[in-house]
Amino acid sequence: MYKRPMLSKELVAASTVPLVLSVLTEGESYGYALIARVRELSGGQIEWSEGMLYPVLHWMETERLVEAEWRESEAGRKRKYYRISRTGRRALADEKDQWLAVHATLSRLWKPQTIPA
Amino acid sequence: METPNDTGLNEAIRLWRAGLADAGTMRPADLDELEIHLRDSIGQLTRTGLASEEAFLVARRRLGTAGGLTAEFAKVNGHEIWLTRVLWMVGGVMVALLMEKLSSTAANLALFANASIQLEGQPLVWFVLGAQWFPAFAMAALCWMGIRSLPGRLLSRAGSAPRHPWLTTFGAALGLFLVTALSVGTQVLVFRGAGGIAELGTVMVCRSYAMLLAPLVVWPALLCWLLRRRARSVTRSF
Repeated sequence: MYKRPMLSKELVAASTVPLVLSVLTEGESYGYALIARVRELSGGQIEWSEGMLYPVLHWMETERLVEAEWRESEAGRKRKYYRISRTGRRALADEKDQWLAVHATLSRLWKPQTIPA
Repeated sequence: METPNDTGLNEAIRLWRAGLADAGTMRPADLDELEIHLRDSIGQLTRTGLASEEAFLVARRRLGTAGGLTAEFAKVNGHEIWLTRVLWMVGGVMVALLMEKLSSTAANLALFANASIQLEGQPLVWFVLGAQWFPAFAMAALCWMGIRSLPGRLLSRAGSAPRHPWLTTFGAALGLFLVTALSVGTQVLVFRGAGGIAELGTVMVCRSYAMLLAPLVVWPALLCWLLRRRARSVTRSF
């Protein structure tokens, strides 16, 4: 079976929380839509084992990074909606600094011509 | 068309959900959320032209294996799994206590009945032992058979007890109280029957009151505390 190269397990584990928090800054969402959004944005390169997202979401809820609420959608289906909290925004800012630091360092290493003198 | 609504699909989803529930690491709300996800996924796939059976298989695979899912949920739900186990243990102790009271009631009645049969020595001892142990075994067997043959609807009613902590605790306390009262009542009957040693009888009755009332308070209190802890930690489901 052909398998397109995807993120390693470790990288998926490390990036799930910042990805979820970032998608939630666009507005509240639910599990299925979160996964669809990440798949779309990554051009299919980030593919979660879908069910694994829920334990992470629940952990984020107990850590108060997100707030959750059961509500009925317009289509009449009950769903659990997640929304980023104030703590979540602070955590995301920290995550962003760290990811950008890694990204900047790797970028400099991989494109020698852009290294500042 | 939001949900494909055929019986075969609903049955397949029901079985899939029951399989996950068996592992005991997911709360009903977790299962609700996963089921909604599965149905969303199936809806999406059938819109692209898949038959509902194929859509179910693909959606289930995308969601992850049962082993992987239950293991991941166990990591975040560890606290609640522990609470649930202790809850059932306390329930078990209370049932054992209930049976002990009922069987000692039977023993007391046997002693009282002996006043008219007039057994003495060895036969009396065996008579009382038999009267206490036989009902205990009979009740244990009945409990076992009763739980196994209980229809699913009633069993799930019993499973909803944690959602009504005060009611459940009150029921347990009332049940224990009534059975204890019965046991103490028959003990008084025995001492009345013994006559002569009335003073010793009073002392014995007071002592057994103290011994019997302590578990009446301690076990329901522990049960209530556990149920309330659990109710707080379980996310509100629909």
